[in-house]
Amino acid sequence: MPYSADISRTNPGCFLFLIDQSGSMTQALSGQPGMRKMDQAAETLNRTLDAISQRCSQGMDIRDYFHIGAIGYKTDSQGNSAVLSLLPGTSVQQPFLTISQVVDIAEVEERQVKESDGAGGLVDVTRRVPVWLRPEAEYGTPMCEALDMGTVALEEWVSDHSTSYPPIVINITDGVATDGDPENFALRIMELKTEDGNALVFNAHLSDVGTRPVQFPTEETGLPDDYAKKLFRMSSVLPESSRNLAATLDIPVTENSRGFVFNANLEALVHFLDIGTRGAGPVDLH
Amino acid sequence: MTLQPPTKRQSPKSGNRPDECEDACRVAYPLRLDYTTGGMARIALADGASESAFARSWAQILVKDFVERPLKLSDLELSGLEQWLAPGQEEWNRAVPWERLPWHGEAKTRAGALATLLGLTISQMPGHPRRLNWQAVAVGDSCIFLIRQDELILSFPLEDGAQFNNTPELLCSNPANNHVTPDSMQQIGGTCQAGDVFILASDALAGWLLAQYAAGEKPWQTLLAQDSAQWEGWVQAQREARLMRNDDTTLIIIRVR
Repeated sequence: MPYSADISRTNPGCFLFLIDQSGSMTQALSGQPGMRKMDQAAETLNRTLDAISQRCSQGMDIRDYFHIGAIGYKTDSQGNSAVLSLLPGTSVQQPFLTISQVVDIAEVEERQVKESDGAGGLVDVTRRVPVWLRPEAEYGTPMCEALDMGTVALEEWVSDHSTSYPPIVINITDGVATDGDPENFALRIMELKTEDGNALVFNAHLSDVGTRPVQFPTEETGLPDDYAKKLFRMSSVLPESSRNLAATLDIPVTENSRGFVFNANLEALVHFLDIGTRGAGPVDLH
Repeated sequence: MTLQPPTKRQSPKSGNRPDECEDACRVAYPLRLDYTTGGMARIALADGASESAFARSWAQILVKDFVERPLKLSDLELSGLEQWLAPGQEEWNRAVPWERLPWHGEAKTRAGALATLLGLTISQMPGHPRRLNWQAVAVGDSCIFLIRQDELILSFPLEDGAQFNNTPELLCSNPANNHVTPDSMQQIGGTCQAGDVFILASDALAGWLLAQYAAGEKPWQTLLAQDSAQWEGWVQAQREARLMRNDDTTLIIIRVR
């Protein structure tokens, strides 16, 4: 069965994040007063990396079950593309760090958060929160180039890790590419493969369109605009093994659900991978 | 009737070190299996959930507690189970370096470690010094198999490879998050015959055994014929052939003679 490779230090998985840092990301995000798209993009990356780190944590130590890359895309004022690897010490050609290296470079902030008091109420507590990316946005959106650079980096990764779970690309964007049609570039990434299956492309669409959030839809009909529909088509269908795990976590997905969210939580995707035995029931997705 | 010395084998998930193995097992034999002195063989296997924090420590505590204070389900009420778990939960809590926890370990550790527990006791039948009774209790997917005259006559608590999943019932080191009740634990027992073999296995090996058995094989023959030098290579070969999941793997064999 595809998408069933064990994920271990000897057979690590891979996440490559592509972050839209273009000028349109300064716009307000629908449904969340005071939040701009670029705030949400940084928050999505930080939370998702936090979730991956926690999954690999044994309490004190991190097990290197994943390689992580993050590529930001924008242009300068002249329209020259700036597609840059966001993790220190890496390049777009070789953007990957191990998850323990990623943990080591996190800036840790203390934040007041509300948590359940166990008796039906909420209580304010101080928690340490890791931060990797600060909001940043300017000028154009070379999404095609970012997808292309990602493809090049991943070609090398899949050839070095032919028995691994296929890489997962998570593109966080408002969907408006300024350097062409990104759809075929996404489809090219999906053609990369390991012995365990084809690479997966997931998209988190951050939009100023005021409709209800959508998570893991099965069809583009009903999505609010053409950008959302395009990103839906650029998103892989969730593998059966992921759907089965989602079901045990009470996350509603069906046979044709795609890895696409519209103004909605993406971290659930991190829990669609099997890295070992865990407790039953829903996971804490903030 | 008596017991031969136990066979214990363990292999960590490929890629992990032996000291990262989250399976734990213990076997304690009395000097004599004599019911008048309370002599009882106690065998325990626990599989710490790899996605929980400090699971190795919790699994080790559970097997230690089981061989020191075998858990009997008969007449057990919720409060009795809570009382049985409490000293181990406190021991786990004391062992956690709470002041030094990194940010990524905080939430998981607060939630508590999770583990299966499979316990087997074998004791003389009261009034019948030549006969032995056995009893097993189980939480989760660590399994016991009873082989009699080269046939599988019991598979407990799971009987079918399709019953394995990644969210088995688990005992939690945090009392607030322990949802196992005496009703959700399982117990089974019987009388031993000379030549009986008990095989205790954590989930990857148990899943392999049941799959082979479903395919018409007698997979216990492989396990019983193996010596310790062959074990590690054999486990790796099964993993590479994708016949066995890459997971911590533990085997205990108890032979009755």
